[in-house]
Amino acid sequence: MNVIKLQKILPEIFAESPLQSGVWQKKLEFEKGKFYLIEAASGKGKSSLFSFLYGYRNDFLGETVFDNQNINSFSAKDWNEIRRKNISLLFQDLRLFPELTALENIELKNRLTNYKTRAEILQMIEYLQVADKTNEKCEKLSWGQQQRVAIVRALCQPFDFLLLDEPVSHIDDLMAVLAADLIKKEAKNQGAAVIVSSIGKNLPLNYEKKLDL
Amino acid sequence: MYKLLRQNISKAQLLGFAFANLIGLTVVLLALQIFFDINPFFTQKDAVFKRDFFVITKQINALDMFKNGSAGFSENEIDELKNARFVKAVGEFTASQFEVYGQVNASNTTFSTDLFFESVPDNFIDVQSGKWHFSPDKNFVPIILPKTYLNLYNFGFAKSRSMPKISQSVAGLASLDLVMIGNGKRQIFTGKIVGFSNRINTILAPQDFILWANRQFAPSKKNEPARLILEINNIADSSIATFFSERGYEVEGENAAVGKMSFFLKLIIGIALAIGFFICLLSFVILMLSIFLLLQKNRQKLQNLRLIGYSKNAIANFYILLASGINLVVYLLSLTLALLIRPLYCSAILEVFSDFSPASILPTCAIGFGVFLLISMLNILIIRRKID
Repeated sequence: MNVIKLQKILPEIFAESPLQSGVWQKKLEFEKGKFYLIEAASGKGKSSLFSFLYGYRNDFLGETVFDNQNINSFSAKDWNEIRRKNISLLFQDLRLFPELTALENIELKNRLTNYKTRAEILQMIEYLQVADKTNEKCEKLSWGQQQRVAIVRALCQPFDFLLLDEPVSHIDDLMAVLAADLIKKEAKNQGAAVIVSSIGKNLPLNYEKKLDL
Repeated sequence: MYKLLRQNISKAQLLGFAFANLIGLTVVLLALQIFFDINPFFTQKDAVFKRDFFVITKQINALDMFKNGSAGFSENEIDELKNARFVKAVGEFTASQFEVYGQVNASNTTFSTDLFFESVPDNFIDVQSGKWHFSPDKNFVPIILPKTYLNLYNFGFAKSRSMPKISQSVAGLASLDLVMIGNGKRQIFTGKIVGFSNRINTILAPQDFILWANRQFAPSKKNEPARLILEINNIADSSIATFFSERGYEVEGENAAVGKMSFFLKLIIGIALAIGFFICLLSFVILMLSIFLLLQKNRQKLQNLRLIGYSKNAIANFYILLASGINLVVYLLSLTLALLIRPLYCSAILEVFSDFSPASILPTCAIGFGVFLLISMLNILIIRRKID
């Protein structure tokens, strides 16, 4: 998958009062290999945008096209494939399983993709300084720690596009730099695009394009 | 993933389901096995109830007592019986239409008694005897008496009077004179008992003799047969009883009881099966509710699993495996339970019927497996539908 095209899309809830935006109702392309930053105040539909691109909501007007295929034509099976091979998403609400340990959460994903070795996973955990929480249940972790676990999980799959929904909202600046390093390395490795959303605190990357939502 | 999905399983609910289903399925399997074990008694020839003959008469009610006419079967009625599904063959009883006296000469005294004869076609008679034929020039008539007559004498009369018992062969040695009168003729025959019948409750003479004698001594009289003997395909067929009672026919002897017994057996087993299936159904509902509850509790988890790329099937498989696994365990357990209980009733039956041989357990296993498959299929269908 090389390009995501947004063709004048707009969440249905905004249909009554269209707002000025760098994304909504615009023609936009996200290309593989480039880094994008989407900035907006809360309530502008950042997470909605990601949920559209990740295929678990489709309450929008306009068209979204992956390469040349309208995503409304994808079946549940197609989305399974896309979520394993083409697009990885770091959810704003993380969606970790609180009853599983940090490592189990990551392995749950990795078992599906077989993308990273156990050693690589432990290395990433260590790099983000949550190694001491590896076998701790996620419900006992702070939000910031959980964010780092979720970042590692998001990297445990092949992807063309990495979507990060406010990835560093609860992480200090030093840690944000480490996370950015890890993400950049993996994205470069895979030649993938990274689309990051933010409400102020940015993941420090060299963005090719910044958009206001 | 299974570790994750296992979390909210309510063991109590599943145990409750398993227990209820265990009872239900055990009842079903046991009822089936009992049916398979006992059914041969009612259907197989040469088994305990080996006679598959019915002797039927018309019911005699108060009005008939004053009518002189015959309570016989008309040709139409006989044809109807011949065409009935459960009837293999119909034999008519032909009654003697003339006067018969039996005389025994002992020393100088002559005992005499009124007699009558009936005949049925030879192939309905359960006594084999080389003497069972009649020719007019020999003046000899073989007779078959009901076994009950001999029993009545031996165990009733002889016992109370301290008289010797008579065996079948001894009875065959005695002869009596048969005096027949009618149509202005009188003729004496020698009669001999050639056997005792369990099947037919009358004084039997060969059909040739009755036809011949009726022509000789009562040529003008015509008569419809008052009794019919039917050979029945399957005396356990409960529709027979209905057929007879609708037409006001009465059945002699215990064969009617066999039909009734088989009817009640089927009824009771039917009720047991229905209860068993009902329990199974209820337990099935418990299982489904339990799984629904589980799915509901795990809704967020399932959604998250779907979002990190797990397919619907992978998730559904866990629940399908769970349900099918429980079903399989329940099936095996209930089969074991049924087979453990089986010797209990088998030994009880063996005490009464020594030639009882239990039926194969395979049909029951197969049906139980069928129920297991059916329930599991339904589970799979519903679970797949419920997960999206």
